[in-house]
Amino acid sequence: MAGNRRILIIDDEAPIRQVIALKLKNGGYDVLTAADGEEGLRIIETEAPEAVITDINMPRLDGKQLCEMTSHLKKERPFLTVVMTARIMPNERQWIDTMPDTLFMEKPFSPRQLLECIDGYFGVKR
Amino acid sequence: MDSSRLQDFLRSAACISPWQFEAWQGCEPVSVPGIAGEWPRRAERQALAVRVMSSGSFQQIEAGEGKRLAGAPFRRDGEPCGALIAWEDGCQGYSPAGSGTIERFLEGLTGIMQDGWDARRESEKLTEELARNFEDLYLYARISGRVKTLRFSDDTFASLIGDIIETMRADMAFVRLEGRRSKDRMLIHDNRVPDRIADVPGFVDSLIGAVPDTAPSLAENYFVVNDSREIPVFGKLHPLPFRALMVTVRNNENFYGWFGIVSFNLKEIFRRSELRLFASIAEQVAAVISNTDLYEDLEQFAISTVKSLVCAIEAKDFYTRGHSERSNRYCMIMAERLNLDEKQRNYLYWASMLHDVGKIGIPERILTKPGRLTEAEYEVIKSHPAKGCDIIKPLAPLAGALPAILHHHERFGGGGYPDGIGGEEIPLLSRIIAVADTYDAVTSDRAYRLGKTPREALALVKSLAGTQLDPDIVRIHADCLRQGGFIGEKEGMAG
Repeated sequence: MAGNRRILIIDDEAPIRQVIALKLKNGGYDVLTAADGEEGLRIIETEAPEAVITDINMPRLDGKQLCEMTSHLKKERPFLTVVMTARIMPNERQWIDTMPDTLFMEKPFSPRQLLECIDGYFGVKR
Repeated sequence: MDSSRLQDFLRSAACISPWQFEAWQGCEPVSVPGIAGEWPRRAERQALAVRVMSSGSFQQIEAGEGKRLAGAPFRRDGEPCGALIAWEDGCQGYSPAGSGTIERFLEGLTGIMQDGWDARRESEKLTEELARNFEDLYLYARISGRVKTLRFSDDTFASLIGDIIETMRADMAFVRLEGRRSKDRMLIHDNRVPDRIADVPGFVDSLIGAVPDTAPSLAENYFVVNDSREIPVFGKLHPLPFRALMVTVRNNENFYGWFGIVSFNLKEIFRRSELRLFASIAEQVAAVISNTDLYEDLEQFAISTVKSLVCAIEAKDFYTRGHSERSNRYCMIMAERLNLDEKQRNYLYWASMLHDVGKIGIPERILTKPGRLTEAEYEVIKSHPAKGCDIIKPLAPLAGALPAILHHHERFGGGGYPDGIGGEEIPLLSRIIAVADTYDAVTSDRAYRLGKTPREALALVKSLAGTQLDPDIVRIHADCLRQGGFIGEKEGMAG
C-alpha cells in the first residue's frame, strides 16, 4: 500500500516540486517538500521519510553532498534516494554505485515514470 | 474540502455569536456543531440542507420563539453540491440580526470558502497540466536523441515507435512510408495488444485509406478520430471503439507517408499539445528521410562517377573490356570467404574496380601493342599502379583503397613493381586483386593470344603460387571457383 509512506521531495524549482508532489499525492503517498539541500537534510533527520527524491544542483547543499551525508543513516533505516540530474556524467555513474539504495533519473523526466519507480521500490501495484 | 479547518472555523463562529453552524455535503454533515441542542433535530437540518441544494439559493425557516434555521449553498462548477446551514434556538438570548443579515453572512462565507476551493482546484489543474507538459518534454527529449542520426534505420524507427507508445499511452503506433527508393513500402508498428488487431498492416492501410481527402485538418497535415463510432467509415474498421491521431510525414512538397497512433482507451482524448508534439516529431522524421535520400543520391553519384572512370580505361583497350567488373566479382567472392570486415570489403570493392585506372595515362599504342614490348615500353606499363593512385587520391573516401591499387603488381616472392616488396609486406587486398587479375587476364583474349579455358587458367595460376601469387589466396580462389560453378563439368572434362 502506498498510504502512510512518506516521501520527501527536494528541489529548488517550485514547479518541479509541485508536479512531483501532486503525482505522489494522487498515488496515495504522504509528501514532504524542501527547497534546498540543507532543509532537506533537516527533514530527513527529523521526519525519517521512506524515500527521498532530490535534484543535484541546488543552493547551499547539493544533491550529491546530501546523499553522502545521509548514506550512514541507511544502515539502520534503509530508504530510497532518487537523484535527478540533467545529464549523467560517466564518473557520476561510478559514484552512484557506491551509494546504498540510490538511483539516477535523468531530466527532463516523466512524472509517471517517477511514480512507477517509487511504486516499484515499495512493491505497490496499481 | 479541508474539513478540520472548516470545523475549527465553524466552532469559533459559534462561540462569538448565538448562531450554530454546520456544513453539509450532499445528504451528510461534514462538520459537528459546537452545541447540539434539542432543536433543530438532524432530520430538520437535513431537510433544510436538501432544500438549499435543490433550490440553489438561500432558504430560511422561522419556527417561533426566536428559533431560526437558515442555509446557503456551496457550488462546484456552478452546481450546488453542499450547504452551509446556521440556526439559533432562542436560548442564548435574542440575536438582533435580521434575516437579510444572516443571508448576507452565509452567502458571503460560502462565497469565500468556495473561492478558496476553486483556487486550490485551479492550482491542481494547472499542476496536472504542468505534469503533462513534463511528459511531453520528456518524450521530446527522447525523440530528439534518436533523430540526431543522419540516416534512419528500421531499428531507429522501431525504438522511436516504442517510446511514443510508452509516453503517449497508446496501444499502437505506426510509421507507414510509401514510394521509398530503398524499400517500396515500409510499415513499422508496435502493438501492445496483438489480440485486438490480428492484421496490423491491413488495419493501418485501411485506417489511412479511410481518411477523407476533403478533411479540412489535412491542410495542417493531420487527421484525428476521437471516437471511431462517430464516423461510420472508421467504425467499420474495428469492432471495438478506438481513437486515432495521424499526421502526414512530409518535407516541403515531398510526401513520404503517415505517422500515427491508435488507442482503445476512450476515457482520454488527444490533447492539442499532443497533436503539436506529434506533428513536430513527424517533421523531424521527414527531415531525416529527406537527408537519407540526399545521402543516397550523393553516394549513387559518386559510384556512377567512379564507374565512368572504369569505362574510360576500357574504351581505350578493347581487350580489357569487362576485366575490372570480373576481377571485382572474383575479389568480392574471396572477401566473403576471408571474412573481411565491412570496411576492408568496401576498400577491396573499389580497389579491384579501379586497379587498372592508371592505364588511362598509358599511350594506346603500348597498351594494345600485339607482340612483345620493348624494355622502355614495359617501363611505361609499370607506371600504371602509381598513376592510378594519383587519379584516385582526390577522392577522400577511397583513401583506404590506394595501397591496394599501388601494390597489385608486386610479386609474392619479391621482384614485382613498383616497390619490389614480397610476402606479407604486400597489402592483403593487393594479394587478393593480384590473383583475380591474373586469372581474368589469362582467361581473356588479348591482342597477341586467345584466352585459356578456366581449367587451364586455374592450373597456370596454381603454378604461380609462391613466386608471383600468395599461395593461400590462390587456394581460396580455386575453392571459390569450384564452388561458384565457374568451372563446369564439361570444361573439367575437356581440360
